[in-house]
Amino acid sequence: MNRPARLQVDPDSIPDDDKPPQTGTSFNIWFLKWSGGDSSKRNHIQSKFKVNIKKDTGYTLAKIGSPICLFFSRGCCYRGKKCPYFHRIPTELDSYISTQDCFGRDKTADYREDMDGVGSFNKVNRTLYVGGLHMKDDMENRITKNFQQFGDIEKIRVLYNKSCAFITFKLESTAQFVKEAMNNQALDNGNEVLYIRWANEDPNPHAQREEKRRLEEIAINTVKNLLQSVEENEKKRRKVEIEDTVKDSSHIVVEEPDEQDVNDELESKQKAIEAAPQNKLTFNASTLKTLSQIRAKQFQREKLNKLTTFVGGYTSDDN
Amino acid sequence: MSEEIEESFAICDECLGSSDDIKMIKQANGAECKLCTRPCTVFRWNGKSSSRRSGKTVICYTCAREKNCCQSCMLDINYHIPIDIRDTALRLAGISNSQKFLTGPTKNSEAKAILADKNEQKFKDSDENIDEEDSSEKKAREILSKLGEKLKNATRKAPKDDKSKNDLNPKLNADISKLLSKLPFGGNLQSQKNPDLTSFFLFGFNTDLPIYAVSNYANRFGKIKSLTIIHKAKCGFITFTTRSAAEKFAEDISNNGLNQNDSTAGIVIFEGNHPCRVSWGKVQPLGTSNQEHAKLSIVVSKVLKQLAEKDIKQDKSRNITDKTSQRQLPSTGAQKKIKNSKSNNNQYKSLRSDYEI
Repeated sequence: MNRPARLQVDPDSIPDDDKPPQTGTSFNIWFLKWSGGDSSKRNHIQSKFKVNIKKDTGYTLAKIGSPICLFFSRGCCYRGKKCPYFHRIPTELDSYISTQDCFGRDKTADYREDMDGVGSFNKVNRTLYVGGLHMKDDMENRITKNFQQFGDIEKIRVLYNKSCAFITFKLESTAQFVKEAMNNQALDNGNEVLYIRWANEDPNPHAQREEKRRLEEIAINTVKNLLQSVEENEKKRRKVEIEDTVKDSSHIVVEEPDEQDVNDELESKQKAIEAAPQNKLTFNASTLKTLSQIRAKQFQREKLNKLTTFVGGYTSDDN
Repeated sequence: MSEEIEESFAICDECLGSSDDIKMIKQANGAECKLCTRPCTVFRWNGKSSSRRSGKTVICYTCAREKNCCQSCMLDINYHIPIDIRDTALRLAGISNSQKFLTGPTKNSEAKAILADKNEQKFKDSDENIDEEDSSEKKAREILSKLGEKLKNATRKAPKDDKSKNDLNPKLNADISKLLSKLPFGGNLQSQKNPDLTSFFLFGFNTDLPIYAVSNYANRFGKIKSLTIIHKAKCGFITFTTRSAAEKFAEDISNNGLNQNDSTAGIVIFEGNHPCRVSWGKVQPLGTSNQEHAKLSIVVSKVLKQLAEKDIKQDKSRNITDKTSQRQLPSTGAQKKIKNSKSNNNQYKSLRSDYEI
């Protein structure tokens, strides 16, 4: 991202009217919706804005760990490069808190009744339901073309007789982004109004078996990674221990002579600093003796340490 | 409703951040626990020093302990992995999650709150009896090492496709003869007479072939004009914008060492382990209804079998010619070549077994 994010809308051009286009006879000020009249028209309002990933992506004030701008995904962020959130699509490298979506909104325990909203933290849902499609030939290709720009698609299932489709993405964050970006939009600038919701679990037993297998595979891989990291940590710990002992032996040269039953760490450190110049200058025979004794002890301890850690490590590896 | 303020919390190191000084605010009954819907103590703290905004707890301490997860990110508190993945791993290893605590998938908020209250009481009782704090990490490590042992022994069973046959509805009334007559099952990857053709017919892939695997593979050769993959029917089409890109695609597949037989459709393995047959072919309709797709997939698996048989025959005749050439040319170079072709055959056979359903 070398260029700054552009302004998606001009803040002065946004109307100061909080009413959506009139689709009923009276306006309900509590729900900000029109009521009465022909209700079939109500759901068919295309969004005024649409994100253009190629043109709108750019750098902003966002730092690592910031979420993605929700208004960017809907194509109506007026802050451009001054936005504190990212203006780009989510990638595999991003890590989001699993109780929030890629826009930093809190997820809930259960889905909403209409499967709209941020989604559930109890389930990793990578599949979206897309309704309101105008069915033509080769819908799979049209959907691929329109949705591929947001991220990798894994599977598309079009139900021609029900004029809807299920799209599975590689990443959950991509699904979250697409849900905001393509809701109330049209394919290829047509006149349909897409209706995007979270998909329920696939009732097909074959698909369920496949999903279970996929979960198991992920579980096995994570456990393998964990085991590896645990082993590496143990190795690191061993190294650190050895380093510590080496460091201690050098410190003790300074601290040992006047360190007798000092419990407070701060005090001992202060004393050590005060004592340091004197001791470094005068290495008499007694200190050298104690030094060698300490070294010998340290060495033994190190050996012991190595042995014990080695034994411990060996048993866990062997099993 | 708990009157005393909860003093302890379960938050993982990852959420708290690595900095030594953390400013934390405690608010009694600050929010509703997202799992059990009871009011709970909320902890807020300033997040990682650089970027992440301040963190806060979203579920109560009791729910977190019951699931053994972090109160903020809801990942496993010891290993920082998603809890459903942890549970599947445990199930795979045959270690049942200790069912000491009452859990139930209920949508009723009252029932949830009552369950959580009961759990809280149980936790209190168990706290009085045993001091678990120190042993929890040891226990987790024990479980993990056990898991490792069991997973090493347990070899994953290869997915069997014969079950999927039962899923297909035997009552398929759809007539797909029209569709079938136009599909180029007998095609191959040899250069075509039609110079305008830029599309390929893909068939015989498994139902878990990701679309991005195909598009990533094909993008190396040129821009894709259209890509249709119907998993139910096990077939699809890919079209390139230019003829040169399409030719490169065909050449790459026919030279990937899996295709000894030029007269049948080529085999390609998309990223990971997703085998697929490819041949030149004009884009044709693949049907729109569920039944048509299901019937097509049956035909595709039959065709795959036939193609595999053809390839075996070709291999046998090729082996014979190889042997004769070996007699005639006993030079080391020729032997090496033959070895190469044999190793390719081995690869090929293993692949074919995938196809024979």
